[in-house]
Amino acid sequence: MRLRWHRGLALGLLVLFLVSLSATQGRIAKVRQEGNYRGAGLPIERLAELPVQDLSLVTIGAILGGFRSVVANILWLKCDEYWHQGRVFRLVPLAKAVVLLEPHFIEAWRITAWHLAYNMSVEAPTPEKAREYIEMGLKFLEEGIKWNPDRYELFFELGWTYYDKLNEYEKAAAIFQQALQKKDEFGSRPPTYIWRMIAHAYERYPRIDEAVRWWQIDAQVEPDHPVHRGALQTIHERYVRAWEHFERGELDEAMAALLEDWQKDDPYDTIGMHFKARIYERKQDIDRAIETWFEAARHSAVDKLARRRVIELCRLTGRPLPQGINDVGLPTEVRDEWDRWFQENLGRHAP
Amino acid sequence: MATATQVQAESKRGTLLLHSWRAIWAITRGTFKDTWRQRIILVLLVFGMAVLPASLIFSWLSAGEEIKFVIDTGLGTILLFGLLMGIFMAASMIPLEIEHRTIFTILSKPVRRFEFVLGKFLGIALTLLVNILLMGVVFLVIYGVKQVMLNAPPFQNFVTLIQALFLLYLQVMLITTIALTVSTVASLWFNIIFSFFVYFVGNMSEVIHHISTHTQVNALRLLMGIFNAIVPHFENFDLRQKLLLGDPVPWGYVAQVVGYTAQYVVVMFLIAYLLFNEREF
Repeated sequence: MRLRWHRGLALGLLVLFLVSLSATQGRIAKVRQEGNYRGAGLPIERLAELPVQDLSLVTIGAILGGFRSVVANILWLKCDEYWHQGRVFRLVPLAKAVVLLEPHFIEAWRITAWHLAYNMSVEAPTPEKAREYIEMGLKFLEEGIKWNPDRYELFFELGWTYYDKLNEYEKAAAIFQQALQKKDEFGSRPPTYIWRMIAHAYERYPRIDEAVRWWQIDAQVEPDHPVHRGALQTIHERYVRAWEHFERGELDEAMAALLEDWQKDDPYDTIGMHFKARIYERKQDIDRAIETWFEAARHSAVDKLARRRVIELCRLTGRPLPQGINDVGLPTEVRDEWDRWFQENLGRHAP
Repeated sequence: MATATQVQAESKRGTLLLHSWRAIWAITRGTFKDTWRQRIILVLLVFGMAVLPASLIFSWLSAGEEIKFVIDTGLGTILLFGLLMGIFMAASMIPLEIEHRTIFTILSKPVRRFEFVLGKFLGIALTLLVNILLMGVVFLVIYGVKQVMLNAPPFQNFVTLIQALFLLYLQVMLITTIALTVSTVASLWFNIIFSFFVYFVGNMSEVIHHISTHTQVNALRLLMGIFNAIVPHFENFDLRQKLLLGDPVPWGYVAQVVGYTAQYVVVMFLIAYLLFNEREF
């Protein structure tokens, strides 16, 4: 009889504690949701994006719970192995599984995006496909940023890809400036080369006033660094006078100052060519602008801004697009094509 | 004013309580000593402490994420070896007592079955505490060394790491309690498999919750809802995101998880009480 009474009490307490346990779990889940504790949890809605062969890896990782990060690290080492074997097309899906298991794995986001935007894009069969891979790399970085909004590394990588791979300098400068507001893994401020990258980006657009401003900021941040001294001197010697005319709308004077100051020492450089093309654009002399951008593209195989501007200006003025030109993955043997296009559309030889 | 009978009754109750604690403490001490005699526990401890420094070497393979690698490997290793020790000790304790027939000697003394299980639990808890403490100290030293190697403050995130280790201990204790409860009625190997199964399912509690809230099938929703209420939510013990982001963890959260674990342990003990009291030897 006594035992039955005890058993009844134990069962009653059991039900009571189970109810209380459920309520406690609800409170903890709320705290975890609001307090940014999640991350251990697998984002189930993203599973559908994975290739079938990697789904099993992620599922195993999910049930391993506390060991999920360890699994992600091991898979990441496997990615490294694929990379050294040259199997980059196998690497990327596996790397996606890694970041699904461990969304705070900064290196996995960064390096996978680099593989997409750099290594896979150069192996693409067409410029359009190359562009697609670069876009995938950029999107991958943007998703990584959503998971790691306080770290500078992915912002920098995104800015760098816009800067280097697409030559979208203004966008790159804006993203670099966002990176400056973030921290590294130790909670310290980001490295000082980001200040210099912003200045470089503005130089190449060009926005000479902004470039000078950021070089001056760099001089304050790191007074002993030699780069800003040389950069400021060069900019002042070659472009500042022309820029002042340009800003005042004195375009003929700007062109004269640019040609005089810039070409005095150096017959060609990217900044000068871009600046010259911008002056023609502002003057509405589109033929000359296209010609200058073309010249810039011919001089530098990696000047995608010049190629893009040719395309944009052609579209703007209703001209047919020159064959083989693309802002990424441009085939190299197109000189004859270009010359023909120039003859037909601008009535002269290509520069 | 209390009557003489009431005083006597209270005195008797007090004596009983003291006796009960003495019995529990005696079983706790005995269990603690027994566990250290088991070679497998020592082997696991030695392996665990040997694997931890290896994270320093492997972290070089993950340039740029070395601290993350050390944290993941360190906490993962302690958790793995803690789980192996806890589950093995808890699963083997009562079946071995029955197999060796020592349980009859103990229960023939004035020791209640509940006191016996509680004593066993506390003995295992103490052993696990010492083991996790030892591995935790090695891990913290390795973490400090790595931080110094990377020119970072050696004690960065130190409090959060201590909290993570403490919650890791609670996580191991929770699964150990489940294994101990099952061990009152089940054999050693069934229990080991069952406990790991519970651990894996507990780590998929978010998936279970997701299904229970998204499915259109009423029966499945009910089933998953019940599952969600019963299965331990092991993600509660995970502070890795906070560690990786360098965010401090409020002690209030730790207290909530302590409360959650305590309630789960009580639930398991009530089940153990119901099962073990019914068992005939």
